[in-house]
Order: sequence, then structure tokens, then C-alpha cells
Amino acid sequence: MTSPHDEGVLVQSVRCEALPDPAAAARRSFLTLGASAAILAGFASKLRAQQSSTGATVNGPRNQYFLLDRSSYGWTSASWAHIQAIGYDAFLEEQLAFELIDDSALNGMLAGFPTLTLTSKQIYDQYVNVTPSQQQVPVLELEGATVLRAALTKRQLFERMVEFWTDHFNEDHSDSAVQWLKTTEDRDVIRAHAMGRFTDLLLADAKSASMLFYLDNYRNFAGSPNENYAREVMELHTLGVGNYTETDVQELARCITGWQFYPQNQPNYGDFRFSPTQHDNGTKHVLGQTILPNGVTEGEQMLAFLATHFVTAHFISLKMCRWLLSYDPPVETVNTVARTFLATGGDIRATVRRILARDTFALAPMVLPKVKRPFHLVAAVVRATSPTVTQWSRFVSELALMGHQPMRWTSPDGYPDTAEDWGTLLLPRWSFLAKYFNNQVPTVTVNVAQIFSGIPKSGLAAFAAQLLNGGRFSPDEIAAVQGYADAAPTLNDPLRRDVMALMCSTPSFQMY
Amino acid sequence: MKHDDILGAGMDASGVVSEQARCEHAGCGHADGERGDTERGDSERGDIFRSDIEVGTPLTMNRRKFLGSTAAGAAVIASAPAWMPRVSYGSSTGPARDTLVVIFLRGGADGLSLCVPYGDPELYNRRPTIAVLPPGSTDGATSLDGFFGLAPASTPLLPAYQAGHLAFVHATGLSDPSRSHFDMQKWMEYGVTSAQSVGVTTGWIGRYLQAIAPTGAGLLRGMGIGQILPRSFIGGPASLAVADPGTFTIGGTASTASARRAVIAAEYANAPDPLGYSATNTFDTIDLLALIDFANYTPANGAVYPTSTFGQGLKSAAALIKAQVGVEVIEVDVTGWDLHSSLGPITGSMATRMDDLTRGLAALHADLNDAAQNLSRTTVVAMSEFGRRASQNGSSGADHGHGNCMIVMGGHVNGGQVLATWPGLAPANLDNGDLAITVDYRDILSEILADRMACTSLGTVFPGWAPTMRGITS
Repeated sequence: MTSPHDEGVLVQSVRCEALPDPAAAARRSFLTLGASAAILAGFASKLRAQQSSTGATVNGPRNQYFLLDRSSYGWTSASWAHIQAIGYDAFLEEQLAFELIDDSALNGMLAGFPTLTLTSKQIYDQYVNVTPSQQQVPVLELEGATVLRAALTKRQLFERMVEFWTDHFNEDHSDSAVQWLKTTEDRDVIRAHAMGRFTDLLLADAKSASMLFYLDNYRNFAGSPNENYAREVMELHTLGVGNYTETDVQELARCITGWQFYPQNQPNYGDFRFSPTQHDNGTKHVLGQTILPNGVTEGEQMLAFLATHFVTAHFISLKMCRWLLSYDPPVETVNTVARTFLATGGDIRATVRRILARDTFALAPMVLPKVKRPFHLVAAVVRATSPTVTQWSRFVSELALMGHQPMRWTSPDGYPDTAEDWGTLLLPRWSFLAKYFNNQVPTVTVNVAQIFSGIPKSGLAAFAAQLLNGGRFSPDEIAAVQGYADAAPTLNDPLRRDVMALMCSTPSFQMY
Repeated sequence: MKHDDILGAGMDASGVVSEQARCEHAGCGHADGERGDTERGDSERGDIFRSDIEVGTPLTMNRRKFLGSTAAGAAVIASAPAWMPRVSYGSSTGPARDTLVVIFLRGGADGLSLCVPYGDPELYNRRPTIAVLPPGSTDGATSLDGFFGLAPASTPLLPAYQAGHLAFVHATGLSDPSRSHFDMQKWMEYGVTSAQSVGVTTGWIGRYLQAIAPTGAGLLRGMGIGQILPRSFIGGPASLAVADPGTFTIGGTASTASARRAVIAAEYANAPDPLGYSATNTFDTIDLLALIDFANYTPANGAVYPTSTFGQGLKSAAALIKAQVGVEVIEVDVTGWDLHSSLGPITGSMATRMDDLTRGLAALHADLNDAAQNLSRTTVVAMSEFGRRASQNGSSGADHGHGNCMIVMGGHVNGGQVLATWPGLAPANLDNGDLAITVDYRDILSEILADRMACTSLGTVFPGWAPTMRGITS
């Protein structure tokens, strides 16, 4: 379906808008303030030399650490024992086949979040259209359950992809009707297709009430179009900025006029509805395609065209590689992944496998660390320290203080995933960790006496390091924390709490 | 380098991008073709997140220390109020200049309610039921100049306006055709239109700060009062987001805070950037803000700030300005302006927002208009990404529009005027259904920066823009 004209437009527009990258600029500007990049590069090269002398192999423990770090919300001794027992490949396949993983323990806990299984109509009638005090219940349940799932699901890789797609198809959960429509979108769109076909995911998202509402496509009518969604679906969801024209935006908007959802007074409130009378029945031209009048099919065909376009394949593959590998993945790796995406018709599971498979990793054995976003940090701490939690939504408030409340990024691009955005907000992290280990997050209790049972004062830091990520801290970090313990007169719970908070505050634990 | 921005260039039908194609873009400075060469010294590769480190490795790298010590340049101030800092930082290396307070109204604030053009009869044709009525009507506007007026909820601004310290600019904004919040906030914070954005990767405040010497020790030059630093600061030195300046300190048990801070400082002594320099920034900012007793800060002239996040943010800004600790640009944002339905400029949502905004500005005006004349070295500017559609929609709201108003306040503002070349609200005069823009917002910011902020690099701050000075400052 790609015409020469189409490609010509793409290349041309690409050249016009190829530059802005605020993160790179921030790096540059900070570096001009006196950085010595040569020193850093020297360090990198020294580290690399040290590692090659340790004889790391593709099958070695470093790569099992890699897979655990990249496919989960944090290292646990149990997951480490498991991957050592079954090996890299089997562990990856197990996580990819998430449907077969028994998650009954989590599901039992999710029973305490009754709104998660309701229809939009039920949520609206039972919680929204009643007293104001009830209106926040579905919001807090969904956001609180998101933290619970990340921390405790055994389907860790699936949950990582749910977070990825939640940002990719971002909706601001505080934006009026999204508050009660997002529960079904999270369940029936994001979670239903997070490892499925990208085409299905894109189409389901386009037809979900919360997206129709959030990006205004439900008000996109023949003769009075609203181009908001039409623009963002190409800019953010498929092709990437610069790969379409303003005319493409207008014409695509015409294709999806009359896309609506059933209103609140209908039993199927929120279900997709096509209104032929509000659909623009003219002929459209989008991205070199001529679309003849054909009702709802026009939009469905254009979205399918976008979902499997080779430019989309590269855009999605690059973004997924950034999510699962590193901020700046090797070109060869991204190309390989994009080929898999195209060859499988946008099979997300196959694409994730391609990214994390050992032979992809062998292509670029150096995988660089990323900064954990606050949500990831919270999940990692919970995974490592197993607190008792009565109200998971309490973590939502804590995440708000760290600038990362789930589903609350207001603009449609989703929370950023860069070192510059998250690595520059340190104090809120340190403050959260101090609160968490001192049991000052309401309803959350960490039992440090149990965690450190039998550990002497002289071994606190090393034990904490092992517990948190298998001991992958620098000697300086461990020494700094142990120095604090050594200076304390007696071994008691306040000291244990401080040791845990300080170990979690290290640079190493901010990264993965 | 953002790969997605150049995809397509040289990509073959299977989605593969050639090295050559990726690197041929002139001036982009990206280094994909040289990936893996860690010795090349490219500054873009200078932090660990772009360098080759094998997974699972403890991360210890030399960190750059580019900020001076907290004690440097400190001098004792005599006879200051109790909340004031005990020390002040070294004197300016450049000409005396204002502190700039930027207020971004996120969501597209309705300029036709904020500064009502009641003298244009077309207003009432476009908005039969949601326009603020002319002076003399029930709930009518208070006249500013016989053509523009203030809604009842905005009258707290009258004292500052009448004192000649506050001006409106109308039919202004960024002359970009987009009606997307996302695009327009980004471009306004970058200081360019979409069409001019090639090569622009930093914010206008960041570029301003980068090009001028600090007024103090440079420990904290830019502060966003909020959770995430606004994009306008990108590229700027010593800039940090601070949600609440009064509580920016090491948490947990107070008696161990100092010892725990020392441990964290040791942990980050060799941290890779941006973690490394951010830790330094954080400790410097903790020390700086600890000098000010925000809790006991008493505004001058009995000024009362709204209890909202915005109001309290302005109060903190005032304390920072008076303390003269070297913070040069402060941004406080207000959200909630995206009123597609039930605009409510008299008793509804818009009235609530305007009440908060204008009482906050009025309190800041009264507070800074003190014996020390802090107002005379402060300029405040409020803006939004776009105004709302001229015509009301079917649900008594207004959709995304274009031209809007700005508010400028300060001791050296040519206040008491509404600066506008009014394009009119008749259908033929609208820009795609919206108020047209006759004054680009960069003219206003350029004049403030040049006149009050000693900026001599407007071409860098607003690339590709030749400003027309409109006489907003004196």
C-alpha cells in the first residue's frame, strides 16, 4: 500500500523536522558547564576492560541479571533462584507466555478492588452518579491496583508492557469522564492486547470511550471536524512526528468522523458507536491513499494501514527498545526488531521476544543502565521488602509527591522515560524511602526486625545490598552505608530502617 | 539523538535504516554511526546512560563538580527580618536586573473572560450566553479603558492596574497554527513556532540563563515551583523543580538527618550524571532554602495569598525574591483552564480560576510593593498556550482557540493599559474561528528580557524572531 508518492512525502517531511531533542540539549548544556566527557569515556572504557577480563559470557550471570532487570520491576532472591534453575531462554519464554503463569495470589488480592471488573455503566451508576465521596473510588482503585500489580504479579514482563502501552496511549486519569471510563480501557484495551497484535491494540484504543473522550474524537463531525485524535494517532501512536502533513491530519480526521460512544443513559454506556449521519461521506486522501466513502470501515482501514506501516514498525520498535533495553539502543538492534515487527504483522509478543532474546543481546552485549522511574522504584522496594499493605492507594499519593502518579500525565505523550527527566528529581525519592522504611506511609508496615533477623550490626549494609538486588552496589556505596551503621551505638530497628533507606537511596538502586 | 525524528530518511522497504542515512542530517550532531567508540569525547556521550557499561556493573564514575561551595561569596546581612537568610550571596557580576516570575496557565485560559473586550459588540454575537456583560449590567465588567474590562472575579487586579504596575496585552500568543495543548505548550516553552523549531532543543528561560552570568553564586538560578521542571528551563544551568520550598529538606528522623545526608552525599560522590550533578544541585538547594524561614514569612502590607497551591507558590516566590539568594527566574504554573463545557466566568469554573489567579497576583503586588521596593526589581508575566474559540460551543464552553491575553506586572511595567491592536471578533476577522494574534508573545518577553533582565542575546533566546518592542516596560 506504500506508493512512491507516500515515501517521497515521508522523506521530505522527515528532513524538515529531524532535530528537536530536549534531552540531548540538556545533556549538552550541562556538559558545557565544565564536564570532562573524556574522563567519563575513559571510565567507561576502563570498566569494560575490567569486565571482559572477568569472562562474562552470553549465558553467564550478568545476562541473567540483565533479563531479570529488564523484564521485571526488580530483583528478588526467588526470581533469581528461578532464572538460575531454568536458564535465560526458558525464563524469557515463561514470561512471554504470561497467560500460563499462575497469578492466583495476586488475583485474590485484586478482589479487594471491585470496580476493576465493572462496566463503565456500572461504575457510573454505582460510584459517579451518587455522592461525591464515592466518585474517587474507581480512580483510586485503578491507580492503587496498578501499584499492587507491578509489585506482586508473577507476570512481571506483561506488567512492564502494560506500563509501556499505558504511556504510549496516555490518557489523563483526572480528566473528567476519563476518571470512570479508564477502568474499562485499562482492562479491555491495554491489558487485553498488551502482548497481542499492535493493530488490534490501536483499533481497540481508537474505539475506547476514554480515548474518544480524552482526544475529543467523539466530537469529530462531518462539517465540523475535530482533528485532535487524528493528529496524535499519527504523531504519538504510529508514525512519529514529521512523517505526515497537516493535510494528512485533516483528511484522516474526516475518515473517523462519526466515531462515538454510547451515552450515560444507555445500558452499554461507553461502548463504541458509529453515527453514519455525522460521518463525512466524501472521498479522502491520506498518506497517498485514496479512501472512498465506506462508513466506519474507512477509519478502520486507515488505522490498520498506520499500524503496520514500515515507519510505524520502526517508531514502535525504537520506543520498545528504549523501554526494554536502553535509552540509546544500537541501530542494528532496532532494525532487527523492526523487521520482526513487520514480518509478524505487528505481533507484540514476538517483538518483545526479539528485543530480549539472547541472540539480540549478543548483537550488542553492552546494555546501559536506565534510571528507574518513581513507579518502578516503589515497585522494586516493595518487591524486595515485602511490607504488609492495607491500602495500596496510599502509594499513589506517595508517587504524586515524586511526580509520577499512575495515569496522571496530562498531555497525550505519556510520562517521559529519560535519565534527564527522572534522574534530576532526587530529593522526593530519598524522602519517600525514609518515610517508607519508617512506616510513615499510612497502612504500610515494613518489618525490618524480620528482614534483618540474625544479622549483626557489622553486616547490615552487605545484607541489605544482597536483599535489594543481589549485591550489585559499588563498594563505596556499601561502605558509606556500613559506616553509618558502625557509627551507631546500638543495633535497633531505627538503625535497620535507616540502613535500608540509605541503601535504597544509592545511585545504583535508582538505576536498573 | 532521537531516532524517531529521522526515520524514513534512507529507510528501505523492510524498515531498515542505513548508517549513512542516519548520519547525513546536517547539524544534528548525532553519533549513531560512531556508536561504541567511547574514546571519542563527544560531549553528548559524556554520561553513563550513553556510554558503554556492561549490565550488572556497580556504577562508579567521576562526577563533575561545577558548582561552587555553599560558603563561597557569602556575606552577612545586618538587621534583616527574622525569616530572612542569615547570609547573602556574592554581588552580581553583571548589571542589576529583575527577578522574573513566569506564570503559565496550562490548558488554554480564556482570554475573552480574563480581559473582556466588552467594547466589541461582536463578543456578544459569538458568545450569547457566556460572555461577561458590559459595565453597568448585572455582574458586568469593570472598565479598564472604556473598551476592555475585568470580570467581577478578576477585580482584585484593579489596585495594581490603577497604580500603573499591571498591564494586559491582548490578541497575543504564539503565531503558530496548532490548536493542540501539547504542541503549543511545547513551542511556547521552547520559544519558537513549530516551523522554526528545527535545531531548537532547549527552553527560552534555559537559553536566557545560559547566556548570562549569574547574579549570585549561581547555586540555584532557576526554580520551577512544582513537581517537574517546566520545559522552558531545559538547557539552563542550576535549575530545579521544587514542589514546596518550605519543606525541601532531608526527610525522616530529624536527629539523624545530618548524618544520613552525609551518607547520601558520599553515595553520590562518584555517581554518573545526571544523578551526580542533580545530587549536588539538591544539596545546594537544600542549603539555600534552609536559609529562609518560609513558615514564618510575613508578607508586607497585610497581603493575603490564596491557600491554593498556586497562591502558596507565589508566596514562596515572594520570600525568595526578598531574600535575594540569587534565584533569577521562578515559574509557578496553574492548571485547570481547559473549560470545554460550562465556562462559567461569573459563578462557574472560570470564575473560580480567575479568583485564584487574580487574588494571588494582587497579594504578590501588595507584598512586593514594600518599603524595600522589591516590586521595582521584579517582573511578573502570565501566559497560556492559547485562548479559547471566539464562539461558545453547544455546551456553554469554548473549544481550543488561538489569540489570548497576557498579564505583565512589576515596578517598571508600563501599567494601567491594555496593550492591543484589536483585530475584532467579527467572523471575517477571526483566525480560523478564533481571536487573531496581532502581537506575538515573544515581543513582550523580548522586551522584558532586554529591558529588565539585562539580556543581550535575544537572538539566542528567541531564534528566528526579530522582536518589535511594544513599550510594555519602562
